Amino acid sequence: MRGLVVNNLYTSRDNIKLSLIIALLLAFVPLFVKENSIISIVIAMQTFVLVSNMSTSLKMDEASKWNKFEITLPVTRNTLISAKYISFILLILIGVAASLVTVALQAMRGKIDFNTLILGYNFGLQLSLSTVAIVYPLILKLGAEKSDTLLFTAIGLSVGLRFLVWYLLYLSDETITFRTSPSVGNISLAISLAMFILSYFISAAIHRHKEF
Amino acid sequence: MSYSLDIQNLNKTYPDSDFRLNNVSFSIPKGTIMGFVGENGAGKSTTMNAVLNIIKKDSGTIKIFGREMGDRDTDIREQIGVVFDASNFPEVLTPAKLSKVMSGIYKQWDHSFFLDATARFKLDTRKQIGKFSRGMKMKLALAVALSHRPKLLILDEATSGLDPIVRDEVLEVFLEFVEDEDHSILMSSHITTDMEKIADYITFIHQGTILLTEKKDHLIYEYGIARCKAEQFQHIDRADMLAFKKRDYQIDVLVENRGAFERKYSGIVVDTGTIDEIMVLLVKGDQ
Repeated sequence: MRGLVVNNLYTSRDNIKLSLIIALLLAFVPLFVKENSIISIVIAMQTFVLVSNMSTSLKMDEASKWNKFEITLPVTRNTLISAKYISFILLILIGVAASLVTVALQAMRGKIDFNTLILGYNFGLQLSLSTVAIVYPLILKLGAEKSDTLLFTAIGLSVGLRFLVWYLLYLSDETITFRTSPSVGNISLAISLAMFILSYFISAAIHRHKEF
Repeated sequence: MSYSLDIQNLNKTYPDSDFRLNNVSFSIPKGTIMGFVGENGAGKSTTMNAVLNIIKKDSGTIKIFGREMGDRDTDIREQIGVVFDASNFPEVLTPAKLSKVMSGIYKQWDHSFFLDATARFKLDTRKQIGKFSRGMKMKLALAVALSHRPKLLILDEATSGLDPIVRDEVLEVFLEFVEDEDHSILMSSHITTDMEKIADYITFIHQGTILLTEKKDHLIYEYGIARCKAEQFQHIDRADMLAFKKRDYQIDVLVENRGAFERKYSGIVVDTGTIDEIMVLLVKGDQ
């Protein structure tokens, strides 16, 4: 397992570097924009940017036929999938760590607003978890060649999920707003977490029946 | 006799293809090299993929070290080294990093053996795999396959595309590997001269069906190709010929026992055949 996770991180290394550069540049955006809500958007993007590049390493796995070779290794197919999901979690955590630069910069400016931060992390984590949950089983099933299309579709569906949650809540309570009501974010995040866990089992089932 | 690999009545079909593995059966005794020969698309890779659980078999049994290998039998896979026809490692890695990856996967990964192997093959362990030539990639794949101390090597076209000097080096390593009597190799290759150099047994496969499994020495020294004229061919008992092929001025007949054939049919020239010639007769000849 350890070797598989290390391999996933090695193959993502260039993307991690690029994503960290993007994440760090994003940290400076709130310095030039007066609108306070930009901070939550920046934090959400920083949390999401690393995992959004996962398709590049999945394409590399497929191009080198590593995904065929790894079946010959002394690990079970479930372990292969577990290693992927652990790697995704690590990428999300690295994204969260990168976003701390934004928090630090805001703290230095004396402009820390915890509600804005929570909103940003909530949206970033929800977007990351639900996107992985949707896109990885589909890549396993359809192949990494279509990963870019699948990724954009998954991002759209993830945002759509948040809108759906807001709309359903709004039907029962008209005071609930899409951007600021914590219940929208919390329920969306909880659903995304459930999707992520379910996605693991779906991916494991797809891999068990997959021939290379 | 004790076998490293024993395949019996292996069948595999694909929904969108006419190709099928049809009751494939052969065994590899411990301490030997099995050459697996056949034309492109004959079923060599499919058989190997079924052995390695990369594809699911429809029916039949595949025993490795006496046991059927399921997904959970990781202890069996610890003892198998695999080399496919291309390097299957992420190209952004270096051999040094690859060793770190493998040490986190194989319980028996021997880093110093890996370093020795890469030094022997003159591979720069700090260079990205993507920048290696094909020959270097194949050497790296072989170094990886050997560095967890396997007992069975499965090599799918591992020598194809290599220049003769590199091929010779690699074949030397295979021969060293089977010096241990517990070690065995299943090796597919188009290059039948490689088989003539190192294989103990040869299995011919054609259109998913095994045509013949035989000791290599028996094929080369006992089998023969009778060069017959048309009138000589008429007098040959069909039971004495394995296959025949009509040429412009003669008919080549593959026979199982050259000496006995020569005694029975005096006047017919019987040559020893190469693995290539025998394969062509088995695959393209009439029976």
